[in-house]
Amino acid sequence: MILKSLSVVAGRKQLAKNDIRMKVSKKNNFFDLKFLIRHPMETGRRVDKISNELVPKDYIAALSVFINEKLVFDSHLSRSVSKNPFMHLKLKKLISGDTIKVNWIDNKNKVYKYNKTINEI
Amino acid sequence: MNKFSLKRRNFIKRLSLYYFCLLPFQTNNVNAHQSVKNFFEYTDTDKLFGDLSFSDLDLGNDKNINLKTPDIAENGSIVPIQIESFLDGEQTFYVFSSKNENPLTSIYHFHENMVPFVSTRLKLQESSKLHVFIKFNSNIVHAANDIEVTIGGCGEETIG
Repeated sequence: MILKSLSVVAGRKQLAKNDIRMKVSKKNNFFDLKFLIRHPMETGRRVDKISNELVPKDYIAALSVFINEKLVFDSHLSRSVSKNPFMHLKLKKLISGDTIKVNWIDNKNKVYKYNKTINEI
Repeated sequence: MNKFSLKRRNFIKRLSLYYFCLLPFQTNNVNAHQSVKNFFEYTDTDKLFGDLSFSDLDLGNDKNINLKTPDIAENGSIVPIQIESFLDGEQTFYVFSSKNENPLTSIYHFHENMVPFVSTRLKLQESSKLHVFIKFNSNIVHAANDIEVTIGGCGEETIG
């Protein structure tokens, strides 16, 4: 509860499942691309404390990053990636007006997409 | 002239038919994942390395890889790792944790316009070695670090 109110004070809204928060910044000659996807990443081994049953597997299986519809990064993840997967990548070049697209697929083959246009860098 | 327009209509019909026939073979992300999916279900590290043709390599630390991991990870469910490579061009990172139920944790492929760098967080079941293999131009280099885990991160009682 305290954490929730703090996050409201900080101007950050709570993320729902499969929501993404992304940040792009320039550092030296490179561009930092950081993003966090809210996801439980269930391993299929955890026991739910209320129902005493195993929680079924639920994780992101693949994730890719496109810049202006061109594939630049491609990854295959598994259930041994932490809850709320965070990734920090570096780009060689990025111009204002470029669009960054992130696609990810969970283990039930459901596709999620996110688009962001960079206005100023 | 009339005949010609009919032909064109047939041609368009046939083209759309071919297009729908070829739809399932389109290379998209989902299909790309199917090709490596079975590697994520292996339980034996040696067999996995053999099938990925990583077995006949010296398992030393290559100077082209900068692998940053904590020496002691208190919570095995969140272990920050950072991998950086000083090699040029397209390359693929394979990250293994030798004592997890499924040793292969993740694969990262970098195309051009990307610095071969990734920083992320993994789950480790117990104290083990973290192996990183980098594949580039049909060459493979390797680096590994030992990580000591106090509370396992894949088990029944996950923290956080």
